[in-house]
Amino acid sequence: MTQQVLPYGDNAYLVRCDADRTLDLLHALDQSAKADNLIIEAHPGEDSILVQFDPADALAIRQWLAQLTATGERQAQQSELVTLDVTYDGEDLEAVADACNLPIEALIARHTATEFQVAFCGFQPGFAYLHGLPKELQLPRREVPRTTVPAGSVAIAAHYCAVYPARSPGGWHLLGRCDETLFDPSATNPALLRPGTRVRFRAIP
Amino acid sequence: MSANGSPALKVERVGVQAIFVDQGRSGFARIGVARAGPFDRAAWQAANEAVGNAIPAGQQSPGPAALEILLGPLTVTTLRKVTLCITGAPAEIHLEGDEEFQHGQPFELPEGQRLHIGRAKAGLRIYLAIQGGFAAEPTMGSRSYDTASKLGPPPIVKGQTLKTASQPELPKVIESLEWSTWSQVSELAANAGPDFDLIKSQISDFGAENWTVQPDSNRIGVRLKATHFQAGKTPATRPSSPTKPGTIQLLPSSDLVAFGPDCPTTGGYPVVAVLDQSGLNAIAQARPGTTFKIKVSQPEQSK
Repeated sequence: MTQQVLPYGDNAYLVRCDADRTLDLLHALDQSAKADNLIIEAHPGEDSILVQFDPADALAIRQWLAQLTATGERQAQQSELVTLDVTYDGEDLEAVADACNLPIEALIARHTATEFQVAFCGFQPGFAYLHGLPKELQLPRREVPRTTVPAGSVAIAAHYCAVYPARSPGGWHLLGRCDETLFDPSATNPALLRPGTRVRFRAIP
Repeated sequence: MSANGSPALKVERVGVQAIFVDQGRSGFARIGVARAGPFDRAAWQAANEAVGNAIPAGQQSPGPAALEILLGPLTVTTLRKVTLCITGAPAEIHLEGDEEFQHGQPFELPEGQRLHIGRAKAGLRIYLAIQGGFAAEPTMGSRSYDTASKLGPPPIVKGQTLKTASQPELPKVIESLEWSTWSQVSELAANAGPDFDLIKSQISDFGAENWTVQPDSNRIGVRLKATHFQAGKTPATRPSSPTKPGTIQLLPSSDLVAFGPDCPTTGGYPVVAVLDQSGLNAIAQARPGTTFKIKVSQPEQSK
């Protein structure tokens, strides 16, 4: 399917595409010389990219977006790889292992053997939805969300994995914790994980 | 806060909430950071222009910081000569003595005056701009406080000294301002959103509905409840989509949530319509219980 360019108010378009093309399309958009001077910002969801612009340029941008083609080079192969050390002692580790019908060691082994990739961010600054969770580890969100999930919690829900950058309420299953700072507003690059970043987890005691 | 600048006002009393707002953070939606900035942008801009503060074109540059005051009251003492303008929700503005000032008109005060802004008589958000703009430590390029992520300088507290960015030799204040009357809008003009098809067959019911602002509304989102409208084939969620201020989501309950400046950057509910800035200005001032008609223009008609 080629992308659909849908109107989104007077200063944005939503480019809807197949989920497995979103990052490639975003990459193509970033690479395009036009991106810098035409648009204010572009940010992805699972199967779409929102492109915000100055209303005066609407028509030119619509044509450009409709014709945008991904280069075919998988963006995944070029993007940065971040390895996060995790202490697998999360409150839901046992329950997740039970629900997946796996010993805890096997659950951890599968989680650490997976290469994830940030599909998109949302929910809170620096919160990255990591794509790539193996099917056998996919569970619906917790029925009752927690009012507080500690910062650094490594968690899974549906087909995503995430690390909570800050303490917040949350309905995902907690596998462990990681000490890395995921979001620092004073840094040049405030978010450690951005759309396209590849992520691996390494078990530490 | 340790922002450099020239002390201008001392805060003697502050009501529910007062925060700094400039044009907000642009370019960080991709890492989950909201735009933030003034909810009623027209009022923010009018107040700044009235005191001679330039509003940069485009949204990449934050522009001058003003105060967004939720409901009021706010009392300040002047620490030097200042030029101020107050817009947005109408409220009484007067000095300790009893001199009154016109909402929406710039005025000059000498040092040592005590200025009182009362509770809003209608609407929700009052804007106070000062010549030179307020100084505050920027976070990610902006001095806007984000009520969801807590980024930016924290809300104003009693006893705080408010500074201006510079002791400016600025162009003289605007002579007359268009912002002189307050009007509450009763119809929101929206554009069809990417999931408009979900309500397309019911658009006359949707348009006839009196959408009522719910009490759990804030700068993150304004919840609008229907009395009759019942969405037909609403999927509970769809794949997460990128969102922005003005996004209107249809919830499984048939309520709508119109996203405000501190909204999340992605969301899982269908987006049936999108407000432009004028719609955001209107919902920014809508108290719980306010009702709106929502008129959705469809792409076939607008293009």
